[in-house]
Amino acid sequence: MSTVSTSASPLGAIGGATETSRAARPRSRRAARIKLVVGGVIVATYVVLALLAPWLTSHDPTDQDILNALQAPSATHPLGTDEAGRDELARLLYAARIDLPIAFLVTVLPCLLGTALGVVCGYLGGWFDALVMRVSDLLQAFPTYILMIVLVFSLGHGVRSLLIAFTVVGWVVYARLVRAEVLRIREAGYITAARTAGFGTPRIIARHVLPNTLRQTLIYLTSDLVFAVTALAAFSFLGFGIQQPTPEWGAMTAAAQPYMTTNMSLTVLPGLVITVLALGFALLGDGLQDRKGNR
Amino acid sequence: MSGRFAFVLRRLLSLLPLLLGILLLAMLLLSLAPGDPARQVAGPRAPQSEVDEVARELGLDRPVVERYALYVAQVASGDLGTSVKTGQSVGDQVVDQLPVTLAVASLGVLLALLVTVPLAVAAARRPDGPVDHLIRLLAVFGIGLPTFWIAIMGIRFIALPTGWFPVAGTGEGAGDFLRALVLPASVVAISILAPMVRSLRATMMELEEAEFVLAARTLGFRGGSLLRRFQLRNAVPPLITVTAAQAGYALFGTVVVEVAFGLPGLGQGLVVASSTQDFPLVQGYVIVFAVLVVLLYLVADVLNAAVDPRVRITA
Amino acid sequence: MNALSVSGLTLTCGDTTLVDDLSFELPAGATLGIVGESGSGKSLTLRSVMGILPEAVTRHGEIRCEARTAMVFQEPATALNPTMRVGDLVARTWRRHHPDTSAREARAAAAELFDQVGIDDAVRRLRAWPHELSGGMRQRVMIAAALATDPDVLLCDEPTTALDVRVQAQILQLLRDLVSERGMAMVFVSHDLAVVASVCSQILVMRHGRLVESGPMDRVLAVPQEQYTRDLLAANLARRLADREGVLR
Repeated sequence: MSTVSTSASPLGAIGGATETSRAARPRSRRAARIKLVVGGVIVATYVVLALLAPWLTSHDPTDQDILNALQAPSATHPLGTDEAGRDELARLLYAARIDLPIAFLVTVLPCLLGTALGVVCGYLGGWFDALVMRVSDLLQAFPTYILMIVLVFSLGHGVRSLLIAFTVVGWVVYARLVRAEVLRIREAGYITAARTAGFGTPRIIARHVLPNTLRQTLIYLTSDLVFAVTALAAFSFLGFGIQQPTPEWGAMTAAAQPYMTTNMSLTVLPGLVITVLALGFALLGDGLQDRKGNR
Repeated sequence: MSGRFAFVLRRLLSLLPLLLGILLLAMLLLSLAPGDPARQVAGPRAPQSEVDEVARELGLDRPVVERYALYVAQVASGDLGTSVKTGQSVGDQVVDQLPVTLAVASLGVLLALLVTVPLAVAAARRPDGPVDHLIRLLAVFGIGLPTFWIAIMGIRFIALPTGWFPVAGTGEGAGDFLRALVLPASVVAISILAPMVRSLRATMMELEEAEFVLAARTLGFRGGSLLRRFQLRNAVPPLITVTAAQAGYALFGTVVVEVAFGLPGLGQGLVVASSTQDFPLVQGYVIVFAVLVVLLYLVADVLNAAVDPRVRITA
Repeated sequence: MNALSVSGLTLTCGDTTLVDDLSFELPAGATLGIVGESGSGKSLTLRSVMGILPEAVTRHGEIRCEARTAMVFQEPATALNPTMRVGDLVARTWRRHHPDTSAREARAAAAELFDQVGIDDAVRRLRAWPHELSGGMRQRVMIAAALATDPDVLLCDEPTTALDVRVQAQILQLLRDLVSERGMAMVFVSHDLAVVASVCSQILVMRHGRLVESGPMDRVLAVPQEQYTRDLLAANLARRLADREGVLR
């Protein structure tokens, strides 16, 4: 007899909040397009800058020059140098080659794993399905960040641990989404019908299940990317992630914190770079979400 | 009254398996840790026999499940173990740090709520109006702002120039303590705000078209009365749910914020324990965080029951 | 004098026309039944009179209403605020329309109204939550709240559809009594011709958002001019024969 329904996902930070039917209006459709374009341009710019980094700067991002530490911007160092005399611009650019691929990896891997598990669970059912669903229940009840910190602690600091931590935490939403769709399609009798028509199971799944879940998967992916970009930097800031001297925005911010009065830009710039990138992904996700509301 | 007490007790009991599950998982995960904790305690040059001795003392030679049972029994008796680095009791350390974390997190959640309600109401009142667009834009921005960076910007551009707030630590006395909390709690609030505003705005807009709101309009209810008694009142349960989820996130936010502001809380303790490979200490922190999260769920459950007249009867 | 006059009412949602050029008049104190299948636009017509159309619906045409209107909804379960005690709803509504009454007086008025709509043990029931009441009781609360606005016209949107047959008969009797005691006009919307015939003296038949036929109830039932009205009559008769309960007096 509940008359009040919530449309908002409690996992706002990870799951992406759902909007109401009011999004389905012409003005919002235009807004959705603007969001998608702006978000797309931002992300594309980062990808291009990451790819072109070696041509955009002649400095090596890890070359130390202690005598020229904490220099103000100059002709040779357009954004100055950091506490070890490394070129700040080069570090910011090269960090994109670390942060972007890792962010993609820690987002895509859980997605692939979750999708695969969802297909298998939905298709097989039985004890395997039950087991996977119980594990996912436990994981959802577990406070995400504590779990990630414990994982990173026990697996040792570094990229591999982050990858495992993000995957362990992130696969659940995708698995549930895909599993529900497989079940729905099984109920609808597509599979029997298609099988009598002589199609194999992989083909049925490829033709009917995945296209239906693609849109929602993309929405989850983009909001997970926002999360990945900021969480990755946060872990590195805390010292659990990528370590100096490897250029990484979060670790750079942490290293520059003692010098924030004298060399303000060293703490401001990396964070700004993360914020804009996260904003790009957030706009993409929001645009996709608005579009979905239109259908 | 006893009915309500029984309700709380029942919910608490139903959360106990979750707590045990979290502990088991944490133990299993921590047992994967590289490096031998016994070796850590005994020191790098200690002979193997001494390392084995330490391992036996710590119970590390037993199977994981047995260790788990022993550990749960130990924790249940109120003993969280001893730090292998400082030799201090984990419990004492945690008790010292708990107030700071609780103060930062709860003040942050409170601030976020104080901002969320008027913002979401203003946005929902005129959908697609300027306030609505501004808030939606801010909500998108807010999700992408790295917490540690807002913290540092707060120190650089507010604490340092004005001198109103301590840059690091909690200072001395209650006044200093409160002043030291202002910026960290604000940062936590900013970091959890966006999903709360989005969610409440969506709920309010949905409720605007709810049949009982339309019925109230036909009965002559308008303005503040309609908004408060019909819409906002019924938006409370979903707001509690999203706030609880975000409060869990705020606990993590405090880890980052405590490190950035140099506050002696659980978060900073966890980071230090983790980077010094202090195994029992990390375990202790995991337990405390797990208990906090479970208590948070309990509070959300009880609040939800308290605000829903339908639950009060059936519970 | 007309309590309500609607002329050229057209409601559209995107490219779909929901109500097409509907006109009718309701003299003060008259009772008009609007009949049609679901989707014929009858509920939307009432909602446009009350000014609670869904956002997506655009309205053209003129609605003139000098009188005070109140509405009774189809689903009392969803039309009542789940987090407001039913007595509060009626008392607060009363105070909105009688600004110089005290809270205590409003409460007494609410109890009085509960009594009038046939809620026994009215004073105690004031403190009930909607979920504690049966469907019929909830609808009585809705009617009491509507009466608290001192309406000249009562708009009823399938008020008995969600109720079981016995309760349906009681609510219909209540509405008949209230209309005659208070001299209110009433518009009663239903898909059920027999129900409408039992409470109204005028009838308006709608289909696909258009007016099919209208006139005095006796005339239209005895000599329907349109094929659609005849079909409705036949369908109703068949249904009545099928379930022998019979809601008619």
